[in-house]
Amino acid sequence: MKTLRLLTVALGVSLVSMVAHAQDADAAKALLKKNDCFKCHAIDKKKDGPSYKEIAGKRKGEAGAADKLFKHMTTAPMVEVDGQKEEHKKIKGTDEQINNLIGWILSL
Amino acid sequence: MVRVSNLSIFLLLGAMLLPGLVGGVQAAEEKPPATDLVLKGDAKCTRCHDESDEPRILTIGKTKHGTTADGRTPTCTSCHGDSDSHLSKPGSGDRPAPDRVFEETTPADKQNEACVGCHKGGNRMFWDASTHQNRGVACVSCHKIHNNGHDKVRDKRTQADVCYTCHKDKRTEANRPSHHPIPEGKMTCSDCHNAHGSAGPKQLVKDSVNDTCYTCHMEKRGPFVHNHAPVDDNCANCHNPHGTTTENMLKMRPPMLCHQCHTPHGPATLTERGQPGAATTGKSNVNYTQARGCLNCHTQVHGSNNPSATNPTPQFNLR
Repeated sequence: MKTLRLLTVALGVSLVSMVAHAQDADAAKALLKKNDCFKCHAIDKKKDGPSYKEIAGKRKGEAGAADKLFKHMTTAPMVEVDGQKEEHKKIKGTDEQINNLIGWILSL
Repeated sequence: MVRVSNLSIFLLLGAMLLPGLVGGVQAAEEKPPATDLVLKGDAKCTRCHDESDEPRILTIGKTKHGTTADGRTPTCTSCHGDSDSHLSKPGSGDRPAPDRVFEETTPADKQNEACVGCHKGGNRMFWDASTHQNRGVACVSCHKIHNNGHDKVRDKRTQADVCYTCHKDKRTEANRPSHHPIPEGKMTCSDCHNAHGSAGPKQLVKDSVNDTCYTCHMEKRGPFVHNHAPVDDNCANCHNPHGTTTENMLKMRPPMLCHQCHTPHGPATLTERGQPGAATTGKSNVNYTQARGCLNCHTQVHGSNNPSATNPTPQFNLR
């Protein structure tokens, strides 16, 4: 009986987590579209920039990954595209929106 | 009682966590070579503006502009220009816009050059010097080129909504009780008007108001043995084709409409009520207006072919 209760709670938490992620994903994608991020990045395909799945794979489990991504998105660092150095575009959004986006990327 | 072992729980939780673990060991991807996605030579554009980009420009493939089997089909640069500066982003600052963007920042004439280069002649013969051209309307003000294959203004059911965006008064008139069946989707603006310009007034498809009306209402055309001059002159003397609150889309209810030109004939009560006119009897010795409705007797207001020259006097458009 105890085991069954534990299983029910685990499934419930999992479902709530999935729903929360779905809402976050919509907001994150909307922010990406608004900032023209998809012109250089795609979710699962390399374009001029790495795919978001590749970024997630590279940063997952890394200490301070979210902070590094936040800085990368908001300070316009120099990046290399086809051998040419150029400024990365600064993302426009509230800290809450950007943190949600970073959370979504790292969850991929 | 349902029994679930601890092993089952571990397996379930493992299945939930597996995708994350797989993602964690994902290798760096190789950038695929740029290839044409929809139009010939579009690779240099679609390497950025692909299916994940907004606005979704690849939907042009669902339109006639995406028919690559047709040799006349343009490519991205045919309309947007070679845009060399746009292709090479500078080290800092924003990327320059393409040579031709279809937004308010570009003069309408420059935008339209991209379209009229191919779409000329025929129904667009009178575009130059047309009302829309003179007033700075761009082709894309009405037409959507990348719009998922659906250009609202080229669909009879949705066209009027595009026109009403500017011509708001016509939306009001078309929703009055007596109207052409535009709200019902049986007619639309382009049945009478050519938005690309015409030789007629009000950008009508024919050279005059009447010729336009006669394309459907041919029984009103005549010629008649006994005609009604204002009818021959202009249908819009009496009708508002967009819609009115009077039946048959008349501008005013008879007898007031008729009395704008004709002296009322009928009982003296008209003048007694202070209305202008004279209490004449007319040639038919009629000295009253039945129910104040001229059309009760003058049924043939558009013209009569009754050859009789005697009573009932057909020259007065009686039956």
